[in-house]
Amino acid sequence: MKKEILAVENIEKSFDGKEVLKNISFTVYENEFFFILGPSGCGKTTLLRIIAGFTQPDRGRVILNKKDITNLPPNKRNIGFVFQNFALWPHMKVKENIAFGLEIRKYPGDFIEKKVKEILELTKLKDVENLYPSQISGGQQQRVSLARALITNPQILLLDEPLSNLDAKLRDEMRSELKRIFKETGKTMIYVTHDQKEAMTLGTTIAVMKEKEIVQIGSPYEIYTYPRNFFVASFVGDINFLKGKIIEKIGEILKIETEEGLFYAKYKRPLNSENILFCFRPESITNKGENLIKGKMRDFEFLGNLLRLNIITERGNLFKIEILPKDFENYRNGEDIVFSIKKEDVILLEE
Amino acid sequence: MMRKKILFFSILFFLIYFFIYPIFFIVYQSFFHQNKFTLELFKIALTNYSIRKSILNSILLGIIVVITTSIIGIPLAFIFDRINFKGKSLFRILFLLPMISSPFVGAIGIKQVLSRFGSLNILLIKLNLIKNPISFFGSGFSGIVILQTLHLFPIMFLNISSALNNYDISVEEASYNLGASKIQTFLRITFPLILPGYFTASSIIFIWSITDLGTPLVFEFNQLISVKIFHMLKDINTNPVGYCLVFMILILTLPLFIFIKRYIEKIPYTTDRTVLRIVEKNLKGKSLFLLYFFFSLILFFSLLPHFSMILYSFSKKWFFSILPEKYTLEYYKIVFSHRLTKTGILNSLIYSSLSTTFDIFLGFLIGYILARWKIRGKNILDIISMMPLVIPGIVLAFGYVVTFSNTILDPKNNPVFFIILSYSLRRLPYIIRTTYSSFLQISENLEEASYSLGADNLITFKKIVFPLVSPGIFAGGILAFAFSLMEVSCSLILAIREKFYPISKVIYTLAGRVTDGPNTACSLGVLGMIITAICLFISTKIIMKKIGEFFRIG
Ligand SMILES: Nc1ncnc2c1ncn2[C@@H]1O[C@H](COP(=O)(O)OP(=O)(O)O)[C@@H](O)[C@H]1O
Ligand SMILES: [Mg+2]
Repeated sequence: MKKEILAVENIEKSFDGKEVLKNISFTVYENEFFFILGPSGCGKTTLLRIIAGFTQPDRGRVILNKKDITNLPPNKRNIGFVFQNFALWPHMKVKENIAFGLEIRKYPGDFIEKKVKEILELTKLKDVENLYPSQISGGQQQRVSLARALITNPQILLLDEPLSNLDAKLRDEMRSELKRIFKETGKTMIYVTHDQKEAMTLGTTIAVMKEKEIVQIGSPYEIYTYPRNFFVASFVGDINFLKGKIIEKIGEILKIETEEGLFYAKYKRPLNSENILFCFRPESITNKGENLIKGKMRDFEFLGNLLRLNIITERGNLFKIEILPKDFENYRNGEDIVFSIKKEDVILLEE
Repeated sequence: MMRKKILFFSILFFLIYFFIYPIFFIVYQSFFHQNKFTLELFKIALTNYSIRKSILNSILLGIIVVITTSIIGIPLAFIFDRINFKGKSLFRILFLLPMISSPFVGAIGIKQVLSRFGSLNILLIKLNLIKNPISFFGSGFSGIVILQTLHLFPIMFLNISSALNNYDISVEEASYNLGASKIQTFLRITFPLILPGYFTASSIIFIWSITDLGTPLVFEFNQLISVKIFHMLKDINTNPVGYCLVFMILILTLPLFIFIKRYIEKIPYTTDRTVLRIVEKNLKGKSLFLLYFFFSLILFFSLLPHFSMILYSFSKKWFFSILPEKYTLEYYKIVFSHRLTKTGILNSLIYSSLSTTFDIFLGFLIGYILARWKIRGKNILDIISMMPLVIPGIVLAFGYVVTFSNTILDPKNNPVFFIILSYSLRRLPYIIRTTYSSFLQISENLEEASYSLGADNLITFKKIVFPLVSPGIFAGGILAFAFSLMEVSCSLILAIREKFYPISKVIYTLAGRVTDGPNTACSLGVLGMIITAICLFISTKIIMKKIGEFFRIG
C-alpha cells in the first residue's frame, strides 16, 4: 500500500464571483511525481497556491500526512514551492538564498554550511554560490530556486511551471536535470505545467485540467492510450477524430457507421449515446486489416525516425498517420494511400 | 485581521484629525459666524481694494510664472530628448541645481546685484550704457516673478522630460510613416502625449508660486494673498477675514489635485522598461556653440541668485560697487557662534530629523498598506495621504494655529509638535509613492517564498521586505530631510518665539536687520545650500546604485 502524502478534497475557489476552481479532488502518494496539466488560465497556479497556503479556498480541505492543514498559515506547512518567476531574493547571494530556510529553523552554522554544500553539488551551482541572482543565467536561477525549496527537506515540493521562463534549449536540458534531481532526492512533487511534453516525459501521474476542473487522472500511459474525452485526447499528443453512429453491438464489439464507411471498435465502458466520437493515434495504424481508410497524400514530413503523412479522403476528411519510412511502399495502392486501424486501437470518447 | 483594522483606522484617524480637520475648520470659519451661516467675510474681503488687488496679483503671478517656466523648461526638455551633444549629462545635472535653495534666500543675494544701486546698474552706468539706474524689480512683483521662475523651471524641465521619455519614439515614426508632417505629428501625437505631464508640472508650479511666502516678504511686496494671510494671522480673532483668504487659496489649489493625482498614479513603476529611444541627431560646430551659449545664459541667470548669495556671504564691503571691495570669513564665524543662528541650526536639525523619521515610518506603513492589503476604505487613505501635494504650507500652518489655539497643543505656546508634523505631512506623499512603487516592483512571490520556507511575518519583513525597499525609502528620506531643513512657509508662520526658530526663520529675521544681518543670512543660506546639495548627491547615488543593482537582470 502506497503512503498517502497529500490529499485535496472538493476544493472550490472564486475570485470576485468568477469561479476559478470547481470540485477539485486528488491524492498524491509518496515518491510520486504528480503533474497537473492544463492550458493557461485554467486555475493551476491558484490550486498550487491553495495547497501552499497563500490563498484560502472557499470550500474544501487540504490534507497533509492525514492532518487537515486548510487553515494552517503557509510558514507552518513545510511545503516547498518553486515559483514560476523563481522569486529569488535579489539582495541575497545564491548561497544566502539557499541557506535561508535552514537559518529560519535555527540550525547551527556548520550544519547549514554542510547542507548548502551538498545541495550546491546536487544542483551544480558550486561556481556561482557567491554571486547575486541578477548575475547568473536563467537556468542557474531556476536551480537556485529549486535548491532553496529542497534544502529544508519539505514533505512535498510544489513546482509552478518551473521551465516556462527558460528558452527552448535550456528547457530540454533542465527537464533532464529535474528528472535526475527528482530521482536522487526521491521527493514527492506536484508539478504544474501547460506543456504536455513535460508531463508525459517526467510524470508518474498526470491530472489533466480543463477550465477549473480536473477531467482525468492517470499515468501518462493511461492518459495517452485511454483519454476520457475530446479535450484530453487532443491536449495530449496528436490524434485523428471521426464522428459516427453506433448501429449494432455484438458482444464487446461495436459496429459504427461513419462518413468513411463501417468501423469496428472494442467496447470498453458503457456509453450513454449512440452518436459518438472516436479517434486513433497517428502511429497506431497498420497497412492491412479491418477499418480501412483510403485517401490521397497531401504532403509529408520527417519527424526524426518516423515519416508523417497527411492524408485527405474523398469526403474531405484529414488524417495524419506516422509510419516507418521503409514501410511507405506497403501503404501505397496506385495513386492512393490505404491504412487500417485495429479494433483495439480505436478510442471511443464521451460526448 | 482585527489588528490590521485597528492599525489602519488609527492611521486614518490620525490623518483626518491632524490634516483634514484643520482644513475643515478653516472652511467652516469662513462661512459661519457664531454657528450661523454668513457670507459676510467674503463681502468684506471682496469689497476691500487691497485684498481684491492681492487676489488678482496672486493669480497673475501664478499664471506668469507658469508661462515663464514653460518658455524655459519645455524647449530644454525637447533639446535633451532629441539631440545628442557633448556634456549632456553634466548639463542635465546643472539645470537641476537652481532647485537646491529656496528662492527667498537667493532673493537676499540677488537684491545686491539687481537692485537700483546693485552691481548690474553700476556696471551699466560705468559703461555709459545708461544714465539712470533701471528698476529691475519694479514694485517687487517682477522680482518675485524672476526669482520664482529661476527656481521653478527645473520642475517643468523634469516633468516634460519624463513625459517625453515615457513613450516609444516609434509612435511618432508611425505618424510620419502615414504621411503626417512634423507639425501634424506634434499636434496630434506628441502634444497629447505630454499634456498630462505638462498639466501636472503647471499645477505644481502654480500652487508653489501663489503660496510662496518667503520671496514676497524679502521683496517687501505685500499685495499677495500669501502675505496677507501671514499678516492677518496675528489678530485672526478680531479680524477673521484671513479664513476666507485661506479658503480662496484652497479653491485655487484643490481642483488641481485631480490632475496631479491621476498623473502620479500613471507613472510606470518598473525600472526595466525598455522604451526605445535612439537619438540620432548629433550637434557639431556652430550649432553646438549656439546651444552652449543658450545653455550658459540660462545657467548664468538661474544660478545668479546663488552666486550673489555666496559672494554676499563673503563680502566685507559691498556698496555702490560691482563686486565686493573686501572679502571676509567673519559671517561664517558669526553663524557658528551667534546665539540665534546656533539655535536655528540646532532646531532645524532636530525638526528635520524627527519629521524625517516620522515620515519614513508613516510613509512606509501607508505605502505598504496601499500596495499589499485588501481592506475597505483603502481609497480614502490613498486620497488623504496624497492631498498634501496641493495643500500649501501656509494653509496647513494657518490651520494649526487657528484650530489648536487654546488647546493643550497650542502652537503659540510650543510649536515643536506642529512644525515637525507639518514638515512630515508635506513630504509624506513623496515617501508614500516611493514605498508604494518599491512594493509594486517587488513581486509578492518574494515574500511568499520566505513564508513557504517557514519564516513568519516578522522575519520576512526583516530579511526580505525591508532590505529590498529600504534603499528607495532611505533616499526619499534624505530628500525629505533636505527639504525640511530649508522649509519656509510653515516655519515662518509656526515659529513665533526665537527659541523655536528654524534656519529659514532665522535667515528671514537676519535679512531684515541692518548692517551685517543680510550677510550673515547669506552665510546661513550657503550652509543650507551645501547640506541640501550633499543630501541630493547621496540620495541620487543610493537610488542609482542600490536599486540599479537589485533590479538589473543578466
Ligand atoms: N488574485 C486573483 N484575483 C482575481 N482573479 C484571479 C486571481 N488569481 C487568479 N485569478 C484568475 O483565475 C484564473 C486562473 O488563474 P491561474 O490559477 O493563474 O491559472 P493558470 O496558472 O492555470 O494559468 C484566471 O482567470 C485568473 O485571471
Ligand atoms: Mg500559472
